Amino acid sequence: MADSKAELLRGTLDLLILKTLALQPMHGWGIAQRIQQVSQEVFSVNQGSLYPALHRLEQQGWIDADWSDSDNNRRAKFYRLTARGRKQLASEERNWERVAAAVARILQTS
Amino acid sequence: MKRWGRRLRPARAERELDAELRFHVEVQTEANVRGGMAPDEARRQALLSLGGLEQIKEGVRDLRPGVWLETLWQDTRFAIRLLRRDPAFTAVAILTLALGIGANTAIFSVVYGVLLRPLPYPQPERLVFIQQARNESVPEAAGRNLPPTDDEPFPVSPPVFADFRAMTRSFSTLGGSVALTRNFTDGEPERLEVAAVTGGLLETLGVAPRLGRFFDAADFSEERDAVILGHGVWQRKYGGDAAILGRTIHIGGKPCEVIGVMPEGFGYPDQSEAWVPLVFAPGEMAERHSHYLDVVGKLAPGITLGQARGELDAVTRRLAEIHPDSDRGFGARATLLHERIVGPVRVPLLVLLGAVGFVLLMACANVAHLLLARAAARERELSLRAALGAGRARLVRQLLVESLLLALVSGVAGTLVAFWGVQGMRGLIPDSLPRIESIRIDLPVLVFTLAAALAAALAFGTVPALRAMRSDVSEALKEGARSTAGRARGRLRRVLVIGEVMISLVLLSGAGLLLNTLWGMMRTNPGFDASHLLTGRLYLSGPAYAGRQATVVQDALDRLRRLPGVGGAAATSSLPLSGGNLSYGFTIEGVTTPPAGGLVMAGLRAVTPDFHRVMRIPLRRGRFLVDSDAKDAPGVVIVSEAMARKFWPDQDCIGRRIRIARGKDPGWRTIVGVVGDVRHEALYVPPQPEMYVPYAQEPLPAVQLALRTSGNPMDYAAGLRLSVGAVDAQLPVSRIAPMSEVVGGSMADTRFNGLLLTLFALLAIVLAAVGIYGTLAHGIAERSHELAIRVALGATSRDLLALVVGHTLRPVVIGGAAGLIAAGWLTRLLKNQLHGVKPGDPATFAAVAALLGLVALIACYLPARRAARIDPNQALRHE
Repeated sequence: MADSKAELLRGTLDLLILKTLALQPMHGWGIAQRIQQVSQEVFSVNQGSLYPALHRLEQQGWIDADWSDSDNNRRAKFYRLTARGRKQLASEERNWERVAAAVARILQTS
Repeated sequence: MKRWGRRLRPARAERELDAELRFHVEVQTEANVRGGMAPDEARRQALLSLGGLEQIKEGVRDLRPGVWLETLWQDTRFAIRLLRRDPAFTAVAILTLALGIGANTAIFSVVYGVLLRPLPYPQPERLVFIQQARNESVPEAAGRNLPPTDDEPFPVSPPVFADFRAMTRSFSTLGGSVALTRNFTDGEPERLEVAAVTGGLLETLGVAPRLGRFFDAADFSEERDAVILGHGVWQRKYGGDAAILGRTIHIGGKPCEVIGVMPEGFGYPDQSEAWVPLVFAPGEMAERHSHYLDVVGKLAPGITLGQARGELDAVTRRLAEIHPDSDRGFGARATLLHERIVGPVRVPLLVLLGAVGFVLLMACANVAHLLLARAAARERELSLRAALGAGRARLVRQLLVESLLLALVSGVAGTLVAFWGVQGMRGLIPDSLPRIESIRIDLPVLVFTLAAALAAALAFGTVPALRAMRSDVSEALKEGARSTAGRARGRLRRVLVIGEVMISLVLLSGAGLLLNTLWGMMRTNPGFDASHLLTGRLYLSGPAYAGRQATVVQDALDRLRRLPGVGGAAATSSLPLSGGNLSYGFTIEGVTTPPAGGLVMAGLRAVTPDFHRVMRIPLRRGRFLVDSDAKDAPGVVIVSEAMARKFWPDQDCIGRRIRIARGKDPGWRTIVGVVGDVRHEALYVPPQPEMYVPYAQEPLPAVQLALRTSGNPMDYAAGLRLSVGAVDAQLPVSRIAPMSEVVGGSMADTRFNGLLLTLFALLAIVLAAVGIYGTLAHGIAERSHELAIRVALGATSRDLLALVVGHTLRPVVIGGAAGLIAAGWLTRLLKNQLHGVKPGDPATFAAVAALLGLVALIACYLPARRAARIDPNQALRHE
């Protein structure tokens, strides 16, 4: 299932899911769509990793899920960020910024 | 809380996941339709974008807490379904493995019980068995009853024991014992194993009486006669009554006070059932060569066995200086008690364990055969599952779970086989095997069973699993693909056949050698006629029989002769092959220098006049003993041919006189007859010089009776007891058995090892035959296409036969050659158990190889015949 699009770094997907859910609860398909749109089609989320990732985050207690009706009146599983998830997102964002800044610096010096 | 709920209801979690993914596909489909796709195509694309529903499910499932348990359960259920779908395969596999595991468990229970289980004393690793030994040869004085070899250690004499006690520091305590047997005459008279023990023995072993006390100084000084009972006797004869303490019971006709009862399971030395104090006779402390004490010591804290040995060496050197006449050339040997008990049987038992381990290996090889055969059929299934999103690791896990399940079920079945096997072996186990009482199937043995099952699962399970890892999915999915996997499987199976043939040959060779030995023993003429003979033992020891032995024996024999059907009755101090051989030195009248080649010694037996007639030992010259050779008549002796040949090689010995070094003042005895040789020692030991003296002139306390009967000897057992009881109600007859059993008992070791090895070898040969047959049948099935083309191109059925059989026999021949080499090397382990056959006996090896070859040919013939009848039209259309 290799994408022609940019590969998501390991762990990055988790961060993106958390960030996406920070806005509002969503179901899996919605999360994938949103990541794709916001990244201006740079990322295409591989569903094969999306659902395992969602379940992993759910197990860690960072997101929680409920079944409710979606806008087309079908029952869907909606994920939302928990309080612990918020803390985790904050720390991951900080971490990401540090890493990204470091990588950028290295790239600029050459 | 909710998460816990999910964990407990995997089915619900599964449904939710399905619903969630379905929703995703639907939404994506709609999105695709909105984007202008046809509905069908839209759905297909949606599914594609999801990237394999099953794989996602797998991915998600793997995350669930406790998921591995759950998947294990799934795998197990799937494995059970598979095994039930193919009952023939399952039954054969489980049966094969259960036999292998069961046989291993049974033998291991013996090995563990005898060799590995710690002795039932506290700190058994500190218990040391001490013996005396000769460091250098000492000129042999006639009549000094010393072991003839230099390397065999022997028991310690009381004065030396006292010296060891006084002069060593390495042992915190030392104790001595000597095993005896005594008549218990309260109630039903019984003959019991009794041990006379010195002070310090129980302390050394670290065991205290369960009731009462151990002997004290007064008990050791003839002031009173005390006895300590074993738990078994106390229960059996005295009903476990605690009031037994202080009671007086009669042992060997002597009243003894019971002062203690030992705890259950205590039986040192060898299964003793009662203990009496060992009281040294006056003057015994001067008898430095009266070797009869078995000495055991407990190493002092911090002292190693090596240090104790060093000290014993120093002490014996000192003793040689103090007593140059008696102690020069004598040293001491110290071994761990455990080693002393199990040392002699270690090699034979480990040989059996090794042999049975080979059987399990073969069983695994055969199950691997079966699995490989199934792998061919399952390759498609596995590929399909791989295509549907099962990860490779998951597939391998699934296969291993199948193997484990198979092995565990077989392990349970094998445990049953083992229980049954141990029951069966109990009747076979020879008396020479120590610690039989500790052979049982308990936790350590079951742990071994589990380990064996797991090892087996790995052994036969990894082969197909590895194949699955390597097999190419798309390749296998192609209809009718003759994949490389098939060829690789063929190679693997040929390797298995080589191994199986090799192992079978090794086992068969060992079994063949032992059977050869056994066969040789059975053909040996023992020198007497054992058929229709009933034997029993009497012990006429103690003051009650002093001076009366000959009369009692005479009266008993008179009664026995009057029993209907009894053709003769006689008594001897020791029956042939019954393990009691006393040798005495003697001097020949007029000969002062010993003959070339050593000792002037011969076996001695005191027999009643018609002993030789009843035993059917032929008279060669002179006469048999007669009733008139009575107590006060002139001393006479009958010698065996071997004795006549050895000491009077070129003259007639009749009329010559000898003096046997026994008793205070032995007189001269005239040789009145020469009788045929008898194998007294063992059937494989050449006859030794023997002397027979009239029982009336040498009334030894231990007597064995022999009755020549008509019909089944055991029918006369009651008559034997009643006749003896009529003479003396207090006199027990012990070990009543047909002579054929006594003879059989002397072969028990060989029979035990031989029968078991033969059993394992037969199992191995059956497994090998099945393996060869299976390999060939599959090879032919896989090559039917090629064979059909050959037929179409004009090959005759004979060509096909040669081709196929040749192909299969090659691994058989390779395995056979390797097996012969391995057998030549491994059968050396049997050296001490073989008599009259050498470990590398070519005749045995040839016979074994021929047998295996024949079996291999038969196993080849059946499928090959089928191959030869291939109808090309059918085989090719089959494509």
